[in-house]
This record gives sequence, C-alpha cells and structure tokens, in this order.
Amino acid sequence: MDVDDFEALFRDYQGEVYGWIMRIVRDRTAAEDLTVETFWRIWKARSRFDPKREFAPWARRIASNVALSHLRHRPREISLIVDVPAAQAADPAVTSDTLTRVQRAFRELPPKLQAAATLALIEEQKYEDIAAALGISVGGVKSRVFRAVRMLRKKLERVGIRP
Amino acid sequence: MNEEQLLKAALPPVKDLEPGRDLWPAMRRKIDEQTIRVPIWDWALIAAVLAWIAIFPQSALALFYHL
Repeated sequence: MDVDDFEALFRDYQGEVYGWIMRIVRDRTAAEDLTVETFWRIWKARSRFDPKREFAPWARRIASNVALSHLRHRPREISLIVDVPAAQAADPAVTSDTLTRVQRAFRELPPKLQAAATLALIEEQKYEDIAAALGISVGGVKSRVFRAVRMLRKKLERVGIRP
Repeated sequence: MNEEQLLKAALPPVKDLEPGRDLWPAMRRKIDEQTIRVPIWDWALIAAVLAWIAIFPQSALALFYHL
C-alpha cells in the first residue's frame, strides 16, 4: 500500500474511527489526535493487514486500544471535561451538582469498565461490535458493564447519592 | 432514577461524530517525518564505527572490504 492508497483509506474511514474514539474519550481535541495516532499504527502495521478481512473492525480494535491508553494516562481533572451537549436530567429533582458527581464517579472507574459501559449503556452500541473492538467476548462485555454499574452504585452511595 | 438513567443524564450520548477539521495533513506530516527520520540506534552505530576507525585506522580497510 502506497501513501496515495493510504490517503484514500484514511478519507473513507477517518469519520468512523473518529466517531468510535469520540464515544469513548468524549473530548474532541483528544479524539482528533487519537484518530491520527490510530491511523499511524495502521500505517505501520499495514503489511500485517489481510485484505480479505473487513477494514473497519480492525481499525475499531486499534482505535479502542489507543482510546483506552488515553483514558489510562489522562489526569483526573481533565477527564472531568465532558465535551458533549450539557448534561441535563429528565427528573427535575436531580440537580446539576448530582450530575457532576455522577460524572466524577464514572470517570474514576477503571478505563476498561468505563469504555465498556460508555459504549453499551450511553452510546447503545451493539454488544458484538463492542466485544470485537475491545478484543473480548460478548460475555466479557456484559461482565464489564455489570461491574461498572455495581462500582458506580457503590461510589455514588459513598457520596450520598442513592439511585 | 437508577444508575443507568443517572449516567445517561450526566453523560449524554455523543452527537458530534465527525472531526472538526481535515486530519489528513497531520497524518501526512507524521508519515513524512518517519520517512526522513534516522533512528537513534543508527546514529549510535555510525558514531561507534567512526570512533573505532579513529582509534584503529588500519581496521578501516577490513570494514570497507566487508561492506
């Protein structure tokens, strides 16, 4: 694959890869940088790609690794910046302070649990796609989501929020 | 509200799923940088060979023979 072929591939899939990363990291600037990093790894591993297989799942798998690595290394205070539409509860009894504490508690979860729960519960992606992207079984995804919810509940109870 | 509903309220699904800029120029720069970059180990090897030749000039002939 030469650079021209790679550019065509990049232009075809950059939106999809960016979208997947954005769902995990929820930060536009980071998602853009991580998209470039993902394609950089793809470029370096291009000789190992089997053209008979679909490109998108392979790219999503690499993108997930890059995004998880970012979640592991980003400082907690930065991780609180949620670069998406403002959080708003349907229930008026839920204050913005409560939502901030929920965000903080969620961001304190281990990155693997965070990613699985974000993709499954918030972004409502298919469990099969999440499993393929994270390199685990569907059962593994369900287990991570279950553990994430249980851990989140405990953290919320600790700060006085009883869902 | 249960944990899942609270979570969705606190972290709504991402809607902006397209990059705000063309990312190809950044990608291209990265590829070009890698193409012209000489790994540090290569520089170390060149330095070691030059040092060896400086200390033992007669070994240069043997080295060139093997090249």
